[in-house]
Formats: sequence, structure tokens, C-alpha cells
Amino acid sequence: MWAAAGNSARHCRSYYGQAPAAPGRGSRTMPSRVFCEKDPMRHTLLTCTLTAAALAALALPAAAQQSTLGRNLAATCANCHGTNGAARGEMKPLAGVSAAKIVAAMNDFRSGNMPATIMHQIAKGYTEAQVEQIAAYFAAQKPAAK
Amino acid sequence: MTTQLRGLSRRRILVGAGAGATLALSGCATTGGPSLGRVAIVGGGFGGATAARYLKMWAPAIDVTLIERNASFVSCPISNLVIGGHKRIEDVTRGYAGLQAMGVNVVRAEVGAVDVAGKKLRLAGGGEVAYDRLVLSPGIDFMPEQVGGLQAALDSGRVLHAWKAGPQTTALRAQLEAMRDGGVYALAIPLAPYRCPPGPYERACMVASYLKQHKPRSKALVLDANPDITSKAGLFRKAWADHYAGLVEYRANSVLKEVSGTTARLEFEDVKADVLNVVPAQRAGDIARSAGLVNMNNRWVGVNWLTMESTAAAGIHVLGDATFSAPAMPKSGHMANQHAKVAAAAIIAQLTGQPVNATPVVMNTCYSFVTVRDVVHVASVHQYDAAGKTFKTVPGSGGLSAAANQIEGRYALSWAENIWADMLAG
Repeated sequence: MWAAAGNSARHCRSYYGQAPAAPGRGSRTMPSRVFCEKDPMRHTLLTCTLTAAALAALALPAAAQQSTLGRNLAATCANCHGTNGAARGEMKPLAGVSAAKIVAAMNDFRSGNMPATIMHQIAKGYTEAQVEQIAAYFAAQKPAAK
Repeated sequence: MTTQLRGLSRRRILVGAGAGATLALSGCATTGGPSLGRVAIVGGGFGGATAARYLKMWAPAIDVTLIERNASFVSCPISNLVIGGHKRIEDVTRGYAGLQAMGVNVVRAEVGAVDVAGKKLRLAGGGEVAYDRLVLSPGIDFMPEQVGGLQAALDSGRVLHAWKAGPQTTALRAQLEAMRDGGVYALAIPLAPYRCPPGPYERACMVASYLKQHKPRSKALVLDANPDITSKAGLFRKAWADHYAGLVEYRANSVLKEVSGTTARLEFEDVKADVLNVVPAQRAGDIARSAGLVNMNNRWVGVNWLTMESTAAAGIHVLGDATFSAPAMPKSGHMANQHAKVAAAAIIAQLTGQPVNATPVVMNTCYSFVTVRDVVHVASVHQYDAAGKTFKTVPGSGGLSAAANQIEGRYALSWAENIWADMLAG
């Protein structure tokens, strides 16, 4: 049940305005994980998945789920403050900064005690509980090597 | 967990791909343990690349295949500086080596079709990719049919959109360089929603910054189909008055009806331009439409915001500009990156039998250059609202720059470096 591809002429222009590679070139530069239609791994993969799921369920108690939430929340900061808080350029690194310091800074941004270009507006979008989870996550990250 | 699973037998399968090529592939994850599942991602922009990076970082035992038709990523954000002559296209271009180094299979190919029921992709150049969960981050494609002659004008290369960064960006730069002093650059903006709400107004600033210095008798004419500037209105108006008086002319409610050569036909007048730059109306990228996922206004993909799964097909996560936006949620690279993280967390939960996060948060920061050094921002934070099953902005949060400033000019460039590294792992 293949869904039809779009108008091919339009396809050529679509992504980033570039024409796709010539077919021959595409097939040469494409090698990677490409599966056959009849996938002999299907059954095995199912087994893998079930095993892994079972292990994951055992390995993720409440504390871990809490940290997953902190991880997810902290990821919303990464666009500016770097992946896991390892910032580049002029952005403030957060990896390895103590949780108390991050919470205090966010409170000061929120109250207006700390002047900011943008953080006073962003800080107001997170609850105090969320800020604590974000702070705990960054505090546990290894600071980037300078 | 990968450590616990390491040491289990590694199985290999043989598959055919392309013109008779045969590849030996690991059926399970690149970590050497069994796979948590296979995730295929179509589109290596802000959404897709981020999804690949975060899936692999948070759950190395997931097989992640990223399919992208271009050899490199070219960023739309910052590309207006290339058009203004302040940056080179190389400055906004990044490779996929970082993702490959962390174990993402980066496949350079065009996806021809999605077999939704069979859970596999057919590649245009031959070969198939089977998946357990699919992520589509197709960005936008255009609706030039709304404007007479636009398709032909775009095909001829005489009229450019430059709304997907790459060759169009450098071609528009070349047109501006070739334009005579005293010429008219006209920019047509479609009705919202479109990709990057402040982008066209930033472009007017960057073009004007070039004209001011090199072709001061020229004019940048903004033909906006909208009733007013759609984002950062006061800040852009002030920038045009402060820096580009007599250079930028803004006309609201100017709906482009037809393109003839480089003449823009509006309802009541013809505007003759030397360089005509048309941002066409937009919809979800072609692959979303051909997969049957476009179910909102015949343009966009409705999504379940807890998982980013299409409301038309469970198990297919759709990210970024292609989605039917939540209230006050911009179509931006930053937001696509945030969508990707919600999707990555949800996919990992789904593949490991964990509950999906019921309280996701996303946020957006958008910097616009009004001069080569002065920048203005708009920011927003969006919390999931269970009652409305959507994201809602937090009252009192977010907002605009008080005024254009050079500190944010430096932050804007750092933002770009950080988000490119965040999505591409390099």
C-alpha cells in the first residue's frame, strides 16, 4: 500500500531549493541501514524490543522517571545554553552549576532583581518545581572542558 | 541499560539497496546490544536532526536512520545575513559528521513514498527503509498556484523565494549585487501562517543595510499580504525609521495576484521591480501530503502534542513547520528543535513500555537582525494544557526586546552556534 509520491518536478525543487542527486550518485552515496521489504529480523527485533522493554521497566523506578522529566525540561534550554548545558560562545554554561545557584538566578530573573535581555521573560514560563528539576539536572552534568 | 544489554549476540542480515548494492547491516543497535527499535527520520533540518541526536543520546540502543536529500545542512536562521552580504553561505552550512560519529545512520536520499501500513519507506533512488516508528520533519513546500505566473517565474530562476536556505540564498545575493543603484528590490510576503514570522522583515532590514552602504538611491519595497507586520511590528518599524528612512517602504494588505517578469501585480496596481523576491504561501512538505497526513486546512499535519504523532496515523511523529501550530506557536527552527525533543522522549517511552511525559514544555526564542549588529528578539514558553490537549503560552511570560541592541546581536550568533551544535552533535 504505497502512498503516491508527490509531483516529481516539484520534488526536485522542494527541500532547501536544491535538486536531488542524480539517481546513480544517490545509490552510491546511500549505503546505510536499509532493510529489505521482507525483513528476516522482524521476529528477532520483536524479541529484542520486548526484552529491552522489560529491562527498562525494571530499571526505571520513580526517581529515574523524575530525572527523565528533569532531562526533558533541561533540553528546552539547550538551544541557547548548549546540549546538557555545555554552552558555546557568549551563552552561559549551565553544566555543573550548583542547583541552588540556578534556582536563585531564575528567581532573580523572575522578580526582576537580575537585569536581563530575555531571561526575565523566559523564567516566568516555568513553574518553581520545573526550575528545581532543571537545576538538579544541570548540576549533575559534567562541565565542558575548557 | 545499554551496558546491561551488551554482550548479547549480535545478529546480521543482508539486504539489497539501490542498484544491486548489498550491504551487511547490524539488525540490532550499533552499541552491540539488541536494538530497542528502529526509528527512521525523514528530513535533516532543525526538527529531524535534533530528533536523531536526542534519540541516540538518550537511548543509544535505538537504531536511528536519518534520511536527508542534501549533503549538508544550510540554516535559514542567519541566512538573511548572507543575503545582506554580512556572512557567507559557508557560515550557515554544517555537516552531518557529528551525528554519524554518534551512531546515527545518515542516508543521503530522497524518500519517494511512505508505506504507512507496511511501516517502510521507499527511497526514490531505490531501496527501502523499514522502521518501527517514523519521524517526518519535512519542513514546508510552496503553494505557488495561488499566484498567476509564479510557478513559471520560480522555475525560470528569475524570481527567487530564498525561503529554503541554500542555492536560492546565494542566487538572491547575486541578484542584489547585480542590481543597479536606484533599482527596486520588492519582497512579497504571504498571509500568515508561514515559516519564520519575523523572517521577511529581517530580510528587508538586511537588504536595506546593503543598499544603504552600496546602492543608496535604491529602494526595498515590502509588499505584505497581511494587514500589518506579523511579528515584532513596533521594533521593525522603529528600525526602518531609525536606519533605513527613505530606503524601506512598507505596504500592508498588498496581496500578490500575478507575477510577470519581475513585475508584481497587486489588486490595484503593478509594481515594477528590478529584483522580485516572492515568499510563496506554504504548506506541509510534500512527503507529509503523499503519506496522507495533511488533515488540517488542506495544508498542515495535526499532531498529538504529547508525542508529536500525527492525528492521521499513529506511530508517525511529525515535527516543525509542517505541523498545524498550537495557539501562538511560531513555525521556526527553534520550535522544530523543541518538537523533536518532545518526540524523542515520547518515542523512547513508547519503545521501552514507559508512560509518555504528560507535562511537556516547549519554548521559542527568535532573534532578528535589524542592522548587522543590532538585534531584537521575541520569546515564548508553551506548557501543555491537558484540558485543551494543546500547548498554551504561559500568561505573563515571554515577550519582546525593549529595543534593538548589540548585546543581543552577539547572543543571536551564539544562539545559532549552540542550536546547530545541539541538533548536529558537532
